[in-house]
Amino acid sequence: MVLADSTAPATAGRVPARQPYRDPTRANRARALQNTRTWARLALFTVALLVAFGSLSTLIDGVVWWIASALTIVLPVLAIGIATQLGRRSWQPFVAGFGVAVVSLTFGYARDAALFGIIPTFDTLGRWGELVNAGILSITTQRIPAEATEGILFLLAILAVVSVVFIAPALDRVPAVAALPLLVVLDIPVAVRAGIAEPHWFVFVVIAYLALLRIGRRRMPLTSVLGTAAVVVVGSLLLPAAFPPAREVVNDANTGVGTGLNPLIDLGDDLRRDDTVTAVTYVTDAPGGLYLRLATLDEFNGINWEPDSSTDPDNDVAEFPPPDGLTDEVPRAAYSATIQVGDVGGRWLPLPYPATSVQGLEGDWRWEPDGLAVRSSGADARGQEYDVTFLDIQPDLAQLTADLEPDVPSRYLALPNEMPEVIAQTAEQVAGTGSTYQKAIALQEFFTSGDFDYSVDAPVDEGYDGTGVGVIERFLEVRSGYCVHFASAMAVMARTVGIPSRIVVGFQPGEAEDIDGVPGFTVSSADLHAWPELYFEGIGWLRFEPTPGRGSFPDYSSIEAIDDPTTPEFEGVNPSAVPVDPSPAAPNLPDEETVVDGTITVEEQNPAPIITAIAVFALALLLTPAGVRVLVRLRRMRRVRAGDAAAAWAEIRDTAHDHDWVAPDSETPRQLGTRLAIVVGHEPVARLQDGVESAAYDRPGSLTMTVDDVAELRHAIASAAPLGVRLRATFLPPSLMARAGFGSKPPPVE
Amino acid sequence: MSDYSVANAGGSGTGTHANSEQAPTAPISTAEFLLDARAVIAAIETVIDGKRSVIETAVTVLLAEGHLLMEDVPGVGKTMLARALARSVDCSVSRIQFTPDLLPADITGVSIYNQAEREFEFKPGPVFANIVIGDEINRASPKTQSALLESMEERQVTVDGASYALPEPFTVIATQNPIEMEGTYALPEAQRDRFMARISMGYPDQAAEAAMLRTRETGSPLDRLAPVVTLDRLRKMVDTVRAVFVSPAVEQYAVAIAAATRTDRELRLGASPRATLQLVRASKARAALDGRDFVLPDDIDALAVPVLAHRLIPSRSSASGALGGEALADITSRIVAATPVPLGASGAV
Repeated sequence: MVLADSTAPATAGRVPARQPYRDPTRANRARALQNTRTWARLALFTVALLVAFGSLSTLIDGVVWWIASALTIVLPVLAIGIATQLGRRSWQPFVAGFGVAVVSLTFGYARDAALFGIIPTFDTLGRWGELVNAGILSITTQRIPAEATEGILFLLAILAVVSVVFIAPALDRVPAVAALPLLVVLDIPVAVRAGIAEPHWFVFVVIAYLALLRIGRRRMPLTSVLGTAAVVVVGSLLLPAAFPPAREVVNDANTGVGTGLNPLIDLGDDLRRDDTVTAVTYVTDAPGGLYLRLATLDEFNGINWEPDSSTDPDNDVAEFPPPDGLTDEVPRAAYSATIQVGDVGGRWLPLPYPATSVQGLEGDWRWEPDGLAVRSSGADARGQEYDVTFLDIQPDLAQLTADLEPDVPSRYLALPNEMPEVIAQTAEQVAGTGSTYQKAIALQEFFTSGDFDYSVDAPVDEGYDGTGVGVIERFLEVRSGYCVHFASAMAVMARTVGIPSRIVVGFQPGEAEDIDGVPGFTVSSADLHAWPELYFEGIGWLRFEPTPGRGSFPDYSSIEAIDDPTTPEFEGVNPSAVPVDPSPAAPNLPDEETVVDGTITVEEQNPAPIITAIAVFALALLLTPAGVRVLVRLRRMRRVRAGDAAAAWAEIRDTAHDHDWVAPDSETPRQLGTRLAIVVGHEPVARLQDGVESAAYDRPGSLTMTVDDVAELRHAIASAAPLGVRLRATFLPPSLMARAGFGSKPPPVE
Repeated sequence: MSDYSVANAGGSGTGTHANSEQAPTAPISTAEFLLDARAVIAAIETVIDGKRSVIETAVTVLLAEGHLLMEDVPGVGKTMLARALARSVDCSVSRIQFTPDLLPADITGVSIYNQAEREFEFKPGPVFANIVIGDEINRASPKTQSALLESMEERQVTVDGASYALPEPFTVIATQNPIEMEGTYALPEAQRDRFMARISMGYPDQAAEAAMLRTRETGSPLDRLAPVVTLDRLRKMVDTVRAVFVSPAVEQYAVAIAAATRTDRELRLGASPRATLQLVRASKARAALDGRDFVLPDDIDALAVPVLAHRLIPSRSSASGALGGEALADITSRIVAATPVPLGASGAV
């Protein structure tokens, strides 16, 4: 026998039967494939989540918030992916994602309250709590679209982090769970206001989600894909129905006045509302009522007036700078007032102009250097009570007509490049060729002399509500509108004739009334008002009142005794608060207390939807295991009724597993039954075991089991376990975790 | 009865299957089967004390029409068990003591020229018996071993071109010494594969050993052992075992275990398809011995080590000595413990 001849074929012949070792290259390929799939799932999940967050753009202004959210999504996802690839234990990706999420939340939002900027401490937690409160507050007080304050950013970051950290590690086992955060995020706009959500976001998210489901399951039948798509779409449409409390809260919150980032935007809505609330009460030693300013809007982009955003972060409201442009020669009187803010939520503090000091505020308030408006990034004006000292500027005619060249930043004179000709033409015609002051008075008179009607509804009905140049063009034609239109038109026209201008949003003086026995004023939400301020070199900013029937003319505007006998002696002296109607042409003008129909609703953004969404999300996360377990059980019981003993046994095995029994699937019914019988008694086990054995392994048509048998044994197993174990069995069933693969790392594919 | 006697030798040249002749007789009931099977086990227990599970496995193999390999150190009663099993059934038994000079013809029989008849006449060897006890099978040369092993698999003997069917049932109970010794030829894996099960006797516990001391003083208990079942009855019992139902789930389970042995890291050679077949067959016998007419995964579990372990080759140690054998049993147990048990046709939910 020749060795070479005999061994070679023998070896060759054995190879197929033997498979002595795992083929290392094959194992590597399988691992590589697994890793590729993991990354693909994570990538699709990330894309879907980013798109879902994109759908919030209907609620939040700008893109910075989205980029910030994207960072808090991408970083934990990367960590989870790397940990999945390198780690051996199933908890490692979760821990990695959680760690990175905590570090990024710390670094991004509480850097200075953390060790080395990244290690959270108790201070960090405190800061986070503040941010959450601030976020909720700024959602409460802002209108759609809201400015992305740090608090809102933080809330979004939490939503992002929770979505990623709890869902991404499970994607390999249960890709379908990706739907949970996606639906929650997508439904926030739906919950805030029906009809605001934009469908294309849904479409993109659903596409990414379906692609995610398809990874590694190329043979998924089309019906499944369509079925899933249908479930996702229908589910996303139905989910908003789970938000009734949020909607109720939205309605409740309509009682207050919100002053968001730009109070001008919703001013019309607030004027049209049918339920007025007390906005401010104040007592002052000044002779008459006060115009209380909220925000100064000096940047006009052709469509909107925007507030100056250059807040000096380090100033103190106890001492204000001298007002812009005011020289020492101008006569003035100093007064003080005690102001109590009522139901006005928001970041703007009602103050007279120019204030010199504010005392007694709670929270962090800063003055704006140009307009001297006071705002806060975290605190709320609602309920504040404070003392303010302010000046009453009383320029004389010589000063007013000095006609000095204005020395102001160019934005006070900026106009859009494309403006309807009619605005400048009208302005020049109206203003004439006098001094700056005469031009301003002429413009004010142009609006108040009777040619213009005051109406909060006409612009809406006619479709030209707003402040843009197109609106002004229409307004000059229709000659009907409310304070926003008058203020914007006068401010723009003033700029066309070279007078620096800006718009102020605030309250007209209100109604004289005793406040705690002291004569004072009560300002209601219907007193919300907007007016222009024009700049005079050497004097500064002066208020004008172009709106007919609202507020009062300032003293200086009647210095020349321009033919207006109704001019009050001092601004705001308007004891009845029912303004003299200077417009006989419009006897039926609605005033500020107009009751309007409900077609235009007050759109106040409320924190409830996002809070509710997060709460629902958390609750859903919490209850998901229990729910899935119940579903699994119901499905099995249905099959038990149909005679499927395997389902019965699987249920018993999982029940045992849930109650701390080690019940591997490599155990036969008899083996587990023997062990169970020791604790729960021989009788129920034996019956079920016989049933299972016969049904599973005997000839078809043999004895089967009943649902009652299973229920009895389930009960026996559960009642033998301590309460803690039973609770865990209900809410965090280990059998489900094992099924989802959390118990151990799944074997490589193939 | 001589250990070397040849009785009931099937001398016919045709390969007629004995079982077909038994078909018309009425099958026995489960109760009758159990009664007889327990009688056999009880009879053997009078000889071998305290080895219930070993005895049951041996009876299982007998009823499953398999061959049994008993591997253990000398003096623990391997041959005694084999003889007791053979004796409890009223059938032909032969015993072959394997030695290095044993020739194939000493087993199968020879054709002798009959001068009176002027033709060759076949003289059946000791293999022509219902139960063949092969003592120390690894002492014989590979050539001789293979002669026996061929007859085990084919259940017939071919001498000089003529085939002679072996009697039905036909069971070989072989013993071998696991310790490497001079002059032994370890059975190649292909031949070990022919044995349905390998069992180790193990040392008796102290009480059993003490009891043995007393009983052996008064003569061999084997002499007092009388057959408890007839050959006809044994055939019917075999038929009963054949009729035991194996559900697809159990088949799937057996296949899964076999497949797992083929991919296990610690094994160089896994279980063959024949091993799977014999595992299921043995499980049927065990189920019948348990009074069932269907196989449970528990039967597979219980028999996996005896039926599979001796066919496996570990990947690390080249020797399959005593240590190797125990290691293989452990590996087999581990594989069984890790293989999910399918539940019914629908599988696990």
